[in-house]
Amino acid sequence: MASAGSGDEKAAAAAMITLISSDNEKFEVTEATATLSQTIRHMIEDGCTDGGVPLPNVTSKILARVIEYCKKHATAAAGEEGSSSSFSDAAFLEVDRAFLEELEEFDDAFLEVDRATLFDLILAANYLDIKGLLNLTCQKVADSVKGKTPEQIREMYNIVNDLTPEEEAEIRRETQWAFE
Amino acid sequence: MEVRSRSGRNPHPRVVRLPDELVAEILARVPYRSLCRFKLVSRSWRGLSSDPAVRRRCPQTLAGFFFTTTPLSGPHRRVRHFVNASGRGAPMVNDPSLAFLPPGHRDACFVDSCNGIFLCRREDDTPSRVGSRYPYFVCNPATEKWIDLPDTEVTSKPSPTLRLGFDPAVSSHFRVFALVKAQNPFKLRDQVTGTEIYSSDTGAWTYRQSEWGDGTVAGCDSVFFCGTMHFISPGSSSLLTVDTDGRTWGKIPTPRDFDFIGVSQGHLYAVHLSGRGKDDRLSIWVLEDYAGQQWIKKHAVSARQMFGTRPRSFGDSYSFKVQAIHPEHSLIFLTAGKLSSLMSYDMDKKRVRFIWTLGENNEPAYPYVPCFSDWQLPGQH
Repeated sequence: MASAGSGDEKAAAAAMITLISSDNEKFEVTEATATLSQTIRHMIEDGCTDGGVPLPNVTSKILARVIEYCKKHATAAAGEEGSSSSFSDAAFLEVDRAFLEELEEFDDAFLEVDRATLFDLILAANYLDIKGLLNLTCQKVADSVKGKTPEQIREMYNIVNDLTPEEEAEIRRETQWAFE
Repeated sequence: MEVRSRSGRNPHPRVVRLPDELVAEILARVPYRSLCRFKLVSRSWRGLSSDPAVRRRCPQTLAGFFFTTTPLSGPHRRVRHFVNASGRGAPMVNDPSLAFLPPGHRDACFVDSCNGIFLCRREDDTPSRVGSRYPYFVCNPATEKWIDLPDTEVTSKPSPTLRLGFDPAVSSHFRVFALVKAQNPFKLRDQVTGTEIYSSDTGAWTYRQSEWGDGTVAGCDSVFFCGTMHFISPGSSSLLTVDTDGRTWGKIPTPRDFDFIGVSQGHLYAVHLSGRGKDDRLSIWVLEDYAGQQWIKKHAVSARQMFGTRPRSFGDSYSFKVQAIHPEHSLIFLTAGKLSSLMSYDMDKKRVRFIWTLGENNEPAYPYVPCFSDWQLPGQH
């Protein structure tokens, strides 16, 4: 069982994919890491990854961060598969929990970026179709805006208030409870 | 929605803008209260915040309670009200009369509530309308939809036990359980012999025979959890369980007879009331390990500890009645006294907060967590 598992890992490690950022920087990643992106997974399935995958919407700075996320979470996904097949004792569950905690800490640290980078990560996660990363980054923005007033939101995100005073009055009337 | 970032010596800030579909992804993750407030940001935000697809995904919490009063005069036999869980501010439900319902349905009384939808009984049925009565219907105040339930043998009997099961996270269909009972010669309450189950999937009732055993008695309180209806069972030190198809029947042993069961933070909670009339006490239990059926006593408190030694404002007895448990926080909602004062009790801070006086008629307060998911009509998938 164990030897077969490590054999698979070797096979996976051998399959490398080259990702090319908008500023023409090349990143070598394992297939396991790259396929966290559904967009790249489909390209691999269609056999169009020879000579590298150009990603014209993602800069090298952001792609490096995205790969960092995918590497960490690809390891986590591999760990989960292992736990369901052969280990079920309490000691292993303990290790599992420690690993999940580590992953949570990683995510928290990963999100310690300025607002522009966070938006760049959201755009990249959406373009590359990486569900976990999209959820993580959107939730981070959601948590930072949820307590804010409409005025604060406009100021933070350069939004022009194009509602007429009548429309504003109507919204306030309908949703009075939400403003108290 | 955009962010400008100035970096280095570059005088022109870099602008990162999110398209509306990604702003929607963010808005679907803020609490519903924030979502409503954000309608005031701009026209485009108003549109996104009102989008049914965004509203449906938006995290909801306990908004408050529906309750009714019966005025001595006037055209209506009962008037329905809504009070926020905080007890303050404009009610989250603007029109608790549920004016979207046809007139005959509007005066109905609530029978049960589950995850944002309500099982209601019309009281306008007169003997002359026998044959096309359909006294029961299910409605959703958030989507303003309702559906009449067909009659079945149980629903035509006086005071049947009907319970609603709905979990929008699992299925867009709901179930109604109508317990079939037979007289029990040795007990005050009738024993359960089976249940009819209405499925909004098929639009029909199905009968299933009980596997709880002879003489099993179901109490008034129930909760739908993990696709299974749980009933309290007075005098049996157990909860009765039946799944949505009526195929798996079971019992969960309990350390006491419980007066209330509910779900909070993903666990089944139960409350036992004792010392009634003297020093009312609540003991609150949690089934932390559902499969292992192990109950843990989480908290115990007496009326004296809650209110001090000057309890006279409630009369001779508190007559505690547990109305709900908060789905995310350690809060129990209960009514006390002759005028049914609704209050919350915080188990962590050990603090009582008055919410509202419901009035003398002693009807239950129905907790409301809005649900914007549309249920599907029979036959739709």
